[in-house]
Amino acid sequence: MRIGARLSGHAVRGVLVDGTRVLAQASADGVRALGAVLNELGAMAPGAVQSVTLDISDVLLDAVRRPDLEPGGNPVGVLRVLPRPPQHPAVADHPSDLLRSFVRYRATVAGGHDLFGAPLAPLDQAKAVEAARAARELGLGALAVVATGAVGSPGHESAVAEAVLDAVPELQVSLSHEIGGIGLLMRETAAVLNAVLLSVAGQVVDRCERAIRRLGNVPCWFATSDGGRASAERLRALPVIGLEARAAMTLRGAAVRNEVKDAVMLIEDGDTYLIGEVRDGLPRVAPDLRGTLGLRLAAPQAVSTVVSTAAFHANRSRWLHGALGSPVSVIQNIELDLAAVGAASCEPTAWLDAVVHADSADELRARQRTMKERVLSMVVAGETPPGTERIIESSAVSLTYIPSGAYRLRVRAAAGTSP
Amino acid sequence: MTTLTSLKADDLPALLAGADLFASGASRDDLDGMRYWLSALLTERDPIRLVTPDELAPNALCASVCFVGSITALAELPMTGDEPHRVLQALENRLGAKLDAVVALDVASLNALMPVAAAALHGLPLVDCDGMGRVFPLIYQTSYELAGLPLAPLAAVGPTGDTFVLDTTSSERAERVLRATLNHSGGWMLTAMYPTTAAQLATAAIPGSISRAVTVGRALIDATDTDDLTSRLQASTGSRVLGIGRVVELEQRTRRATSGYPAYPSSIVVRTHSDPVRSIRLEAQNELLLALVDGAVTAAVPDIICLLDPNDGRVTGVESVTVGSEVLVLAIPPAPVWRTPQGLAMVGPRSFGFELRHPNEELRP
Repeated sequence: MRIGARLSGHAVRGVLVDGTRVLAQASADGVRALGAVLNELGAMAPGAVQSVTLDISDVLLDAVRRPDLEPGGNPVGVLRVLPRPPQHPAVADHPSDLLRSFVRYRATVAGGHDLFGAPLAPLDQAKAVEAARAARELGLGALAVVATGAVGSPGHESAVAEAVLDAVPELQVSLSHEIGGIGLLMRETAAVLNAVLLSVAGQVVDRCERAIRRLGNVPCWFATSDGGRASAERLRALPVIGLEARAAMTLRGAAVRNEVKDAVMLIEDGDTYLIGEVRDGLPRVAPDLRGTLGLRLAAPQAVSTVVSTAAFHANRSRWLHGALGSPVSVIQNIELDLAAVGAASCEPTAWLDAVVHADSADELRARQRTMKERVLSMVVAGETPPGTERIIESSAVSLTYIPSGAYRLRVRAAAGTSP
Repeated sequence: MTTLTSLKADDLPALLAGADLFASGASRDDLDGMRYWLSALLTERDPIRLVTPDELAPNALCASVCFVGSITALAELPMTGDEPHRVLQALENRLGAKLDAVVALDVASLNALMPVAAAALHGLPLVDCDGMGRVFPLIYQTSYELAGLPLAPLAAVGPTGDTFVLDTTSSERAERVLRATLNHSGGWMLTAMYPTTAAQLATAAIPGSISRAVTVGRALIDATDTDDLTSRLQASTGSRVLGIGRVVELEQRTRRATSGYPAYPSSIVVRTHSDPVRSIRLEAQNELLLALVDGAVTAAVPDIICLLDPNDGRVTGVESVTVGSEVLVLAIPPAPVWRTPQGLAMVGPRSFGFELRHPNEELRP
């Protein structure tokens, strides 16, 4: 038996589920809404509650959209680690207006690795510390650090973090390799938003943990954008992974309610439809989508489209191209909050996106095997029933126009039992 | 097709959208940073003058600018912004003469933008032509090569600032040396090559490439739905739809790598939504090279085979395709020079390791 809840502003909608059955639902508004919802659902539970999973994506999105009103909207600094400094202001900056609005300080220091792990320049650690001090002198509370090649070779980002935290301990640091993904700007986007959210996420997670404690010793989880869940500690450090959780949780909740594992989902939500897809009960995800904020985040999120009901019915076949030959599952998201159902039922997931070199098909398979083992070990660390971990997606794509043998590998894994 | 006389920041979205189509599956949609930089460049400077070779003095010195390497590597390790200027300077120093105009080696994906950046930073006009009319994987698979123009000297600048100038009489050697350098340069280099006169370009280049990319890009951007998109593309490029469907298989190393070409081959299988259902097998190595519908060859390199997302009309790249992706498969006729026996010998299916003729080749007397 599990509880799932979605926080939106001061409103909370929660459900108590047992497998695919929704036993009860509750909602409340106000500063103590979460406690009220948890108490109500806990009281109705016929047995012990095994876990509470919260979707706080609306709260995080609000903090990003209204930086003047939220404590998490404090401006941040960006430190890029590259072999050469930018020679044009537009190259030094970020293409998104929204992202630029959060950044009050930027610096580039020498360092970084290529995609295969070869160092491109020695790390200028002293200059990194100098930049961190300059950011702090401007009153900034967090610094996003983005080194080229950091996903495969995180050493320079880690070394910067260590030196900065040693010299400027009051500065929070957000490292791009901890979020992952290929593409410096996309990781910078994620690292900046993460830095922006650190403060508000810390407060929200603390508040949630306090509320859940009333239920006793019940594990507390947070929904993530890829349809999985993360521990309170992980979300406190990497809040950006929960930023786009709502669509993923809604799709998962719809799959649970309709008891389907592989289908195109058509979810009616007032005057709009959310269209997405589930495989093995999990939302189909991609790593470089423009999310709710119109920003590419590097981290995977659900592939979904929101369309008005009028536009959908005017040209149904356009929106359901992919459904031809696949079952379409239609469900309403009005009386029951599907995101809360999805949160209640979600399990740990993990993914890796990296470039490797392989000279033969056998070597490629070996590289994929190693990466799968790494991803599986990441989900096993999430307190799941032993033996339930599985690979749900794995791909290898040959990188174009560079000498043969460079592949981009993506692996996604999940654990736990799909209801 | 409208012939443009200048390029402004406003033209960039259409230029890039059209250039993605001519990348024949090698397009990328994560060039936001490059687009932002180039837009700033064109906003702070006068519009780029776009000229035909005939508008230049016959002995005007021109050079082709080309990004070589992996766009994934570029996304991870972006340009600093001075590479286009540095590479032209390096070539000018080697030639001992100032350039009068910049040319595109190809107008596909990022390579439509790089000559524009070079022209803006170097204060030169851009010639409305290119050497491929699409993209090919090797730097010498060009109409310039068919016309007997020398590729070298070649200048190259990498992301760490490393610069080299290569003198060779063999275009194939230039390709091999440059490509081998990529692995140690961070995965990409910006190059300037094929120093030519305007008079040589007038006969050797594929004309109107920049204008064509902008025209096609506008068609892509303005299309209201899939039907509108395909009819606009048919009108502007002579394209034909091979099918709309879902990617059901994605395999790597499905055949032996063709000697001398970068990257390993892969195959994409699309199951169409049509009745009856068709299977479209796409053979790729850097670009999409071959399309077989239910086993029959329906398009082959040098045809421009592309994938588009039927929902939003965006071009989908081979590196972005995953099992489950919805795609519209399209084939566009290449520039006429590639349908000649000499053209097909250089870039026809056999030159990519496929033991088959181009579908149109058999019609020749």
